[in-house]
Amino acid sequence: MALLDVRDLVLHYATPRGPVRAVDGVSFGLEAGGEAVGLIGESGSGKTSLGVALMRTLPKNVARYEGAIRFQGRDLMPLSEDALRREVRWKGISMVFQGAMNAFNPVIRVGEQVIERMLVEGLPQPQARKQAEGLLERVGLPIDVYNRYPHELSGGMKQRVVIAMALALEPPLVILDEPTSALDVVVQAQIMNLLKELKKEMGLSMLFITHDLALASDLCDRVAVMYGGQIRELGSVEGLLERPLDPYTQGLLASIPRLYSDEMPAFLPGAPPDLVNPPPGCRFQPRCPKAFAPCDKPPALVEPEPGHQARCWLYTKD
Amino acid sequence: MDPILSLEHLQVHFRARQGLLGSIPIKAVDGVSLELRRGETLAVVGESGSGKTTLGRATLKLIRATGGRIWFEGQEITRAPEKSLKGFRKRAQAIFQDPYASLSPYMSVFQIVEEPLLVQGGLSAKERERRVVQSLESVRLKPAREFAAKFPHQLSGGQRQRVGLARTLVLEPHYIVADEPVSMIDASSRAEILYLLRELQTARGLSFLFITHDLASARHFADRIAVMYLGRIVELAPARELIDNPLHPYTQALLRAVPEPDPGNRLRLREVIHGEPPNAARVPPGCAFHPRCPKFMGGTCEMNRPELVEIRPGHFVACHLYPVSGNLADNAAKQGR
Repeated sequence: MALLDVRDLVLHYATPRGPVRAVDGVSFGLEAGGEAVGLIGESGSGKTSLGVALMRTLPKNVARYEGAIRFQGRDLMPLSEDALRREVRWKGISMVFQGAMNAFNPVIRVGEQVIERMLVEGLPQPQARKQAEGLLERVGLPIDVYNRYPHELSGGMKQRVVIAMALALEPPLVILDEPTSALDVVVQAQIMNLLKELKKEMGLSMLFITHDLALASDLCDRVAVMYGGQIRELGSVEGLLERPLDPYTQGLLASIPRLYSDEMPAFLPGAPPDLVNPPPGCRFQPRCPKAFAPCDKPPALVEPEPGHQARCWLYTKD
Repeated sequence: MDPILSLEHLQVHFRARQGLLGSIPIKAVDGVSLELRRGETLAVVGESGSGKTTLGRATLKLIRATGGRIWFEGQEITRAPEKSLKGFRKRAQAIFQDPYASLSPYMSVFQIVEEPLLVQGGLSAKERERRVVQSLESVRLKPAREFAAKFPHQLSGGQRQRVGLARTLVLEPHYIVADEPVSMIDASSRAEILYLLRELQTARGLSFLFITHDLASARHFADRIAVMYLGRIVELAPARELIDNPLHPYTQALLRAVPEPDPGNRLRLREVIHGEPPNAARVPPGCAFHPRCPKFMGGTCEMNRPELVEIRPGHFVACHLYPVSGNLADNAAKQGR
């Protein structure tokens, strides 16, 4: 049984121009025991909204929120907010939000912010402290960080604390939204090494949200490529990097400048779709170099190779 | 050929307030000597706090140099009074990082691109319009008249960045500082902007200082790369040479940290140096990189500051692993400035 099984998830936001289809029918699964799935998308693709939809940390202007989110076999959608907070959020699925390292309370010691959630759970203070110190050590920090204030930590250290906080209630699944986007490349590599260790040694499963396909390949077993609120391609990292099926994935891969090759990076002309008025057929069609007649109708996600899915008419047999 | 820009031991030191009354010196740029050739793109690569942005601004005289000299098109401008810089201000321009923050939302594309011409003065409305249209066309915002009527919120990130570029080009500069020009743009559109810069470089003979943290882009779009660490250049070489044969342990560490799209990556831990770049307020003595260096040599690296010397033709490095020897070093001393 999959740890997480998402079916036809929809999250639309209400705006004066009409509903924004940020997440528009997304389905995927994630295994327990340390599977990492990368969720790749450019700005406005809906990748962060998908994380928000899974955690149900919704803004006020939600227009539609439906589908199934099965976690450990149980559908979370019918759960009341109260039950979700008590039983699932942070304990079952936790999240490292984008920019969280800049959201510490500046006047409270780091350790006290780490144990906050443990205290809410009713853990006595001395025990919580002991656990928090263990967590800080686990993420590669000296124990005395517990007594420091956020401004005394570097960016990389703060990001480690944020990861420790996400692990506070020992969740089997962590959603990481661009956890290294504010960090320099050396520190980014340090954090990626930490995530690899947590995955391998603790069997932590992860949904790794990023705009950077190369970075995702540093950690993830499988990768889902999002575009216009939908998953366009989903497969093993090997399959997706070596035999990308979807023309958008192909374009994205070709746009990565390579350090050790003379092949120049390519680009995709045009801009991503407006999610208030997306193109009626395939959402990538207006930019697609391989567009043909069937693309006027929306393609379904099909599986041309075992375990490798694509939302593209090139692979759909009538 | 004469360089368009030369820097000789350029220094930018600040005093930053600390505590109630005190202040501490910050050596953002600390003795940089460089030559930028006409029609050349020189990438300046480094982490945050390396001084790369300050260096770029100092060459535009947006920040005052506290030491050393700046030469632009054969004239020393280090301490030239502002009123004598009118020509320089026109010929030396900048492109900024954030295409969302650098364009006024209340101005049309036409007004945004026209503004520098109004500030400069002396042109008729008709001539200004001609130049704006020409500038928009040169960055491939076509049809130019249609784009001219739009407002920034109607444009994608890549289109906004091209508007910023059109605004820069309308004054027909010779030298452009491009500070992380694509880091806020979606990956699939980045190369489009970089090709455009390259095309302008070739067609108009423009010179670029390309400030970036992205070594892979620098390899493909720069002629030479300078790596900065805590206010100094630690390595300088032709772009491919620097990537393929990095000499400085810091450059080697930066290159190892770059993620490449390779499915094998996830199966191994990356060899990575520890720590983060220290603050420019606390530059370590000797070689500033020594506390993090995997090849640290006690008794040397923490005692003496290595000079930038030419180890191979055109390849300069500041590291004690490469001892200064005879003629090459003399050459380097001459060419480095």
